[in-house]
Amino acid sequence: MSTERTKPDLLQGTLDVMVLRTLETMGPQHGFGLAKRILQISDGLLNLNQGTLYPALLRLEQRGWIRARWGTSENNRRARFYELTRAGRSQIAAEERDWARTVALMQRFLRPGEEG
Amino acid sequence: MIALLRRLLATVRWNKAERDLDAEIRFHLQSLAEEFEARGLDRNDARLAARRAFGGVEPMKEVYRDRRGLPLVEGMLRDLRHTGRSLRRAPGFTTVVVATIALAIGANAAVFLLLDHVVLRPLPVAQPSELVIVSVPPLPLEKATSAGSGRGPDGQMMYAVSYPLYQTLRRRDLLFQDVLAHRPIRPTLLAGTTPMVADAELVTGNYFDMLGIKAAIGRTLQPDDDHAPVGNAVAVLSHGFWQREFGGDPSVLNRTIRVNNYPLTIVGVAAPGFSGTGGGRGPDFFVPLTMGNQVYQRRGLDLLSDAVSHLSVIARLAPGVSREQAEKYLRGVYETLFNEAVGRTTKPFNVERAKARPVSLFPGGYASSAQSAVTRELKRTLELLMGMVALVLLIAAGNVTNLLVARGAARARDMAIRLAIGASRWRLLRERLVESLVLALIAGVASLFVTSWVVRLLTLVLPFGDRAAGLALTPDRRVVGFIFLVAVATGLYIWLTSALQVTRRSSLPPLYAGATRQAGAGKPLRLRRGLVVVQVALSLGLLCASALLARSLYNLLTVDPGFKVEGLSTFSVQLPDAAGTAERRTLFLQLLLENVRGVPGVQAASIASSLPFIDSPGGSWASTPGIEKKISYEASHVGPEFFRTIGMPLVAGRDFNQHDVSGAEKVAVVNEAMASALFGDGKAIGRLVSYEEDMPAETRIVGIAKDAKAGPRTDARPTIYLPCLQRPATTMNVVARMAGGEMLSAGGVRTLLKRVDSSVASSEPRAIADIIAESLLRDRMLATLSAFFAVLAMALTGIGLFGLTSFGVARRSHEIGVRLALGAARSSIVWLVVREVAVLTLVGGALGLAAYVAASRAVGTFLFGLSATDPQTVAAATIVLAAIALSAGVVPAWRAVHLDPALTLRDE
Repeated sequence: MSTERTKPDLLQGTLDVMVLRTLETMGPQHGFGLAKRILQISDGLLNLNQGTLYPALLRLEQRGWIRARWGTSENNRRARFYELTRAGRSQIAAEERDWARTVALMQRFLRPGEEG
Repeated sequence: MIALLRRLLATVRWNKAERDLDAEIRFHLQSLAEEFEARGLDRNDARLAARRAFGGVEPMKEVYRDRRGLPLVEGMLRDLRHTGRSLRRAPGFTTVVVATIALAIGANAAVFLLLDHVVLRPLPVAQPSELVIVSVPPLPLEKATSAGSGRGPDGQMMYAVSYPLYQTLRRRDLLFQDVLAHRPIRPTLLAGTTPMVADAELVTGNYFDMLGIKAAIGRTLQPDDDHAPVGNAVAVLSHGFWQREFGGDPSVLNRTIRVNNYPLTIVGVAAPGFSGTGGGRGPDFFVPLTMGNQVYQRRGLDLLSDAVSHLSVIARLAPGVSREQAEKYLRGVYETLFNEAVGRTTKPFNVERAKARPVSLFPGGYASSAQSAVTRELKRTLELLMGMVALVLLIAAGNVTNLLVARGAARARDMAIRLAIGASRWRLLRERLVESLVLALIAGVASLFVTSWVVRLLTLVLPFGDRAAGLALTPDRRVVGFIFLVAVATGLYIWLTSALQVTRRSSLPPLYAGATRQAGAGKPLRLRRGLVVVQVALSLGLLCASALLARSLYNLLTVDPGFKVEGLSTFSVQLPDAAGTAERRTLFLQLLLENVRGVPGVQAASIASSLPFIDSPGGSWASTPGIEKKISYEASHVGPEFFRTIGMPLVAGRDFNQHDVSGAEKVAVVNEAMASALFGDGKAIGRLVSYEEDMPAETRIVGIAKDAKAGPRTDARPTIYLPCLQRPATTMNVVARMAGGEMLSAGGVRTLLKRVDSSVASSEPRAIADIIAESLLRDRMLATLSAFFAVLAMALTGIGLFGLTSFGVARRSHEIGVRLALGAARSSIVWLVVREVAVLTLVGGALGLAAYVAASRAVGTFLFGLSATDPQTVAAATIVLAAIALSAGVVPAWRAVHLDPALTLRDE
């Protein structure tokens, strides 16, 4: 499945949700940790250059959903840690609602018979 | 909004953000690599694997940067820094480009500055765009009237208006908010001890309020100062006059001045910067119009009657009304008035001719609408010069484009590499844009100095005389704005012409070894050739025009005025008590003349109401008994020994003398044109003439003067000279001939006048040669400036050709080396180089000639004594251009011939 290409537009939206959710469960985390965790959870379904994470992080930061500060990593290196803001937390709820709606909608089109 | 601010902030803190990003990426890569190492890869493989997992670092950074800052602004800033570096690295290139553009923009700004002052700028009044000049031809009347008309700067007819008609224009609801009237007068002013000739303006009471002009001190004139039939005896000074004559002393308020010996009280000083609606230095003071008859006595002339149409009328359009609407409406109203007037009058009236005279409204709030002499004289001239100097800028920009393309060709490989590793074409274009704009704007700043320098030079070289007074000829905000706009336009132009070519993929060299030699081949070269052809064409056109204008000036300067100009000087006097008796004036003139003749060095002296070649006096119709026809003529009242003094030869008869006074027989001298017009056979001596309509023919012709031209461009007109001691006018010119290059001094004239009559004001004495020189201001300006522009254009074109040819030789050095090595004759190599110059010059020259012939009419109206396509001049200009073009090919050709084949071939 790893040859499957994820469409960039779709990826952008999904990556946002993934980052926010990961930060919610893990607490403050640096980019490397986030990338590792997301790839772990996606279990090879997501073919992602880890670098693409950073523009996404910047976008979330600019929207005020996360904030970044410099700190020290597990192996004593200087690293930038990201954490959720209050706005970010409420955003997760909104994103989840959106996703649920989208998924429900898509399902009607993709498997109309099962709904019957 | 906040996101935008953040991005703006990020733009500013670019360096820090960039360091942070690098650190973050480094951390990520190291952590990844450690993980891979822990899985058992060796260090190197681990690092590579980390990079693979991370993806392309640079593209990601680009995306990140675009996201982070405002990419356009940030990119521009980066390009700005980059441009700054690259320009500093090539100071020679930068200097040449900046100097070229600065010179061209500076020349443009200098002409603009003049044009702005004379034509374009709005007058310093409230809402100038609402003001219109009202030109209404006089209505048919029972009595004979004197109607004033003149021509505007574009040659349009403008009619002056009588006081009653002005009041009609006010009363009717004519889509005007308000209407004012004014007229200039030149009275004798006595403000201190020495009388002087002043420029005053008779204005209606609403003048200042309607124009929105406040008082600096005291008050301005008000409507109730202007009540008929006789207004308040008050005056308002202009700010300039107050400073000049009273040193800005506030105690002038309530002081009494005497205007033509009539006392007026100063009640205020107008706000600074306002010098009337007439351009130039403007009036010295303002007087209520209804005081006109008191301060400006003219025999039997009531300035407030409908017998004289002498007022200039300015109206302010009602809000939202266009000039065209108001004009259309006014025409309708005028037609009604006209028909009523025709119905009233019993006198036969040429209705058809009157109807051909249109009622018009002209824009009234700009320097060009000032109807000042300087505007009339220079508007077209400056417009032509503006067009010429714009071509110089085009040529200069062509050179800069050529330089940029050549530089671009040298950097083509660099550019090709950047495109190959993923820079977008827009990115490269943007860099070039910033570079072009920076160059043009630096040049714009430099051009400010060029401008003030050129203008100062112009005022030194050109005989502006009085006309420069009141023109503040220093670059101001409007000129700076003009320079900015032109600089930006120039920047965009050189960018468009150079960058699109430089960054075109197809024009870039392939990236294999040895390919650079072909750099700049193909399209950029075609573009550069095209540019040079245009340059050649434009400069040939400019050269033709300037050569013709120079020859025209020469023709004008060598026109024989019909009398001996050298050694003559003149000043004018305003005769005492204009309303007084003729005897008193005659006595004064005789006394004055006696005193002038007594001045040491004066060989001869006389008086004249108007001077030949300089003034154009009015005239009337003359006839002689026994012959039915009437001759239109000009009359000049002159004193004893007038013809001897100015050195105008008499063909027959005698000069005037002391005995030609009132009471003696009425005598006249006519010129040849008048003699032959009146009598056909030219035998005029002793015959009688009637020189004013309805006058008995009792004036005997005692002399015939040789024809003299009426002006540099005007042929002799029938002229009658009358002895001024028989009928003195109110303003007379004294002319004196002095030996050894001397002329009358201002101090000398003052003491002399004091002795004769201390109440008389005079002008400063001037050499007649200077007055004639000043009358050719327009032609001198055209010849001087167009020569300057043509030289500039030729130089730039020469440099352009030289650059292109040198570049061609450098580009083909390999080929030329091969040819030389194979034994090609030197002459064939020279031909190889010169051929290109020759072809470009031929094509450009042909285009230039064609374009010049098409545009020659614009020049033709200014020429005197030769046609706009004078073959000799055009041929000479073409030869000069060809010589310059060929000399631009000499050095490159020499270089080509002396190439060392061994070197160029080894240089593979």
